[in-house]
Amino acid sequence: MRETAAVEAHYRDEIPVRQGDPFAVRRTEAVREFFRAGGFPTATREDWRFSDLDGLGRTAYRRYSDVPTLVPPKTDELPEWVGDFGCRVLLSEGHPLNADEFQNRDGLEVGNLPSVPAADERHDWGFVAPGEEPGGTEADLDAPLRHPLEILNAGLFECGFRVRVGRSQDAGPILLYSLRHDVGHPAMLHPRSVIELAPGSRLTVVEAHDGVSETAGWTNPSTLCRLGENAELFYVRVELESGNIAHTGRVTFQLARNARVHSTVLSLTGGKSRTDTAAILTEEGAEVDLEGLFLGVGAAKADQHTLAIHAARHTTSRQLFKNVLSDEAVAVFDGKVVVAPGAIGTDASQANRNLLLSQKAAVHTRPRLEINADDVKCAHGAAIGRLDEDALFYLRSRGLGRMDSHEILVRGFAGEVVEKVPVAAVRGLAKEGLTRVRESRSFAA
Amino acid sequence: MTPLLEICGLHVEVEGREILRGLDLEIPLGETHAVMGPNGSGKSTLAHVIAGREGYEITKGIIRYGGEDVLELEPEERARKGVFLAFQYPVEIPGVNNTYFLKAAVNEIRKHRGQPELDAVDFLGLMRDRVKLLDFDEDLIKRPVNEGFSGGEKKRNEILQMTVLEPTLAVLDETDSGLDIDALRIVAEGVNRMRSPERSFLVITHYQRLLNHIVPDRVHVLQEGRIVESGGSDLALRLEAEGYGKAAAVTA
Repeated sequence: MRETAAVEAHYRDEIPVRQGDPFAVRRTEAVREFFRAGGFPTATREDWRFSDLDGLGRTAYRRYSDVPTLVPPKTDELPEWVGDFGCRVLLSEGHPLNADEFQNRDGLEVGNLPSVPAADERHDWGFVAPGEEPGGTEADLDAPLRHPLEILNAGLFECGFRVRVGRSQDAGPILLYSLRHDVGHPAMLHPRSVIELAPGSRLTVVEAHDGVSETAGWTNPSTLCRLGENAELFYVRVELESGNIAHTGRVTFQLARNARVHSTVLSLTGGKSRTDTAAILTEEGAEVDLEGLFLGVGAAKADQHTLAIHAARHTTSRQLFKNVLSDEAVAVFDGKVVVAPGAIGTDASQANRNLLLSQKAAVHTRPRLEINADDVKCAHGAAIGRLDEDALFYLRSRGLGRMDSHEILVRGFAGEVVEKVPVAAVRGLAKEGLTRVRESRSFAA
Repeated sequence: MTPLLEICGLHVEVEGREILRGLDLEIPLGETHAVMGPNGSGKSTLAHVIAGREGYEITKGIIRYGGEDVLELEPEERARKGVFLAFQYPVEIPGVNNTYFLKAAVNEIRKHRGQPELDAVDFLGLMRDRVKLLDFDEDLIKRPVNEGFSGGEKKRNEILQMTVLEPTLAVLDETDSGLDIDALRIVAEGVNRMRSPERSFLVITHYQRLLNHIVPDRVHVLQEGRIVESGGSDLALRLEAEGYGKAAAVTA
């Protein structure tokens, strides 16, 4: 292994240098902070038991912008489903692809975060700089923002998405699409995105990460969603990267009074991914549904970490994460609910259900509850099973073939998450994922 | 004429235990036969083996359907040839819509028969028609298969499926269990309406009650894995009055 000092020096060299960047100093501090706290997390850390990133630390990833041969794809080379979105923002290799098409009207702003933010936009970037006092209470509301890879992203980010929805506006569906290609050397992407909903507004947004690479690649996006009072967000995240791309992504929701979030993470990846979804319910009446579905074939691995922080009275969180695992696919679910002192009337539930289609597939599941208040309702459960033989016979006795019967049951299992996704194009992607499950080696074997 | 269903000397084991011990049964096309027997006599095993369920070891004997040995056929192949099993315990299938499931099943069977597949509109028309005949709650056909259905609704759903799939041989496995008298009547009417010279029924039951409503052409008594007595529909009444012990004594 390379010396830690050499790895740190490598990443400090990768900090983008931009004329007039008001955060230049903070970027350096962030990278330094990341390494001071131990660098790339390994399995010896409790939160990283099943997602050892030691391998990431051994590879000298470089930013795409250092590659002179980069040719962004034309929009007609994009996958067909992208065309279903009237409003979309595209990144290729982390660079804006349709920078001229941004829509800014009637209080709706859709576009890219500038690579050089204005100094007064510091708040918009949403990160807690190293050394800065966390704004937290006993519940540690900034915990998601002090995630090690969030801090590294704060040092290395170059671009990302920005969506702002004005007061009482109803917007979407909007697609935020990031595509990457194999450029022949280990490349990394650290997009940073901010989605803001003013009080009373409503938004449907899809964030998708796509691309194939045989050469090692790494995508480490951060997304922060802030909801004002009574705002409602339908957030869908689609992970489509495959080949040799490692994905470590985070999305954090901050909810004010009576705000509502419906979030779905679809892991359709062929590679390895870890996604941290966090919801901070800061005021009374806030509600989140956090859902996820992983359709695992081949050697794919998806690691879902969730964190719901109930920091105020009468807040609700419901988590449902499902995994369909064929071949040697591996799923991890580590779900945490924190109820802060005084957060009475909290209603939290958490479920992780797993369908194993192969002897070699594996699941690690760990629900965690930290309850520091009285008068709360918290439920959690996990289930791991195979397809029901009685149900298979039932379907076959009606004339449906063996493979079709297996497929119908798998689609039924996945449907609980897929059918709630409010965007038809994304449901289509999930259906394609289910077809890959049917075509996998271990299916109905 | 060859009987529609012909079972000869059937021996079946489940996990090393012999359940059926030389069972013989013939059902001509167009007839309705009842098989009655006490608990543990092998009634459900018989139903499952006819439908082709895995996990049963046929050690001896033969099952012919339409003159063809069907023991090597998969359950779906038998279904496509017109065999239908109404389950004693219909299975709940979360996330799979009843209508979607039945349409897929109908079209598999139509494909096998060389008929064109039904489109959504034709199929819904067919369903509406059948739903009305069975006094079936129309909302139930939009729900996931059997999920949250009451016992009676599940059994009615079996009969609904039967009327839509139009089998040549329908095996009803204790369809009367768990039904109140009104539901029993509706189910029996559904079956009686389908009786025809082109279709046979095998009604498996523990009680004579169902046979007041579906009057069989023949009644067979199944005990310890064998048919020990056969007779007309009056045999059922005698069994009800005298119990199964008497029937065994008669053959002893």
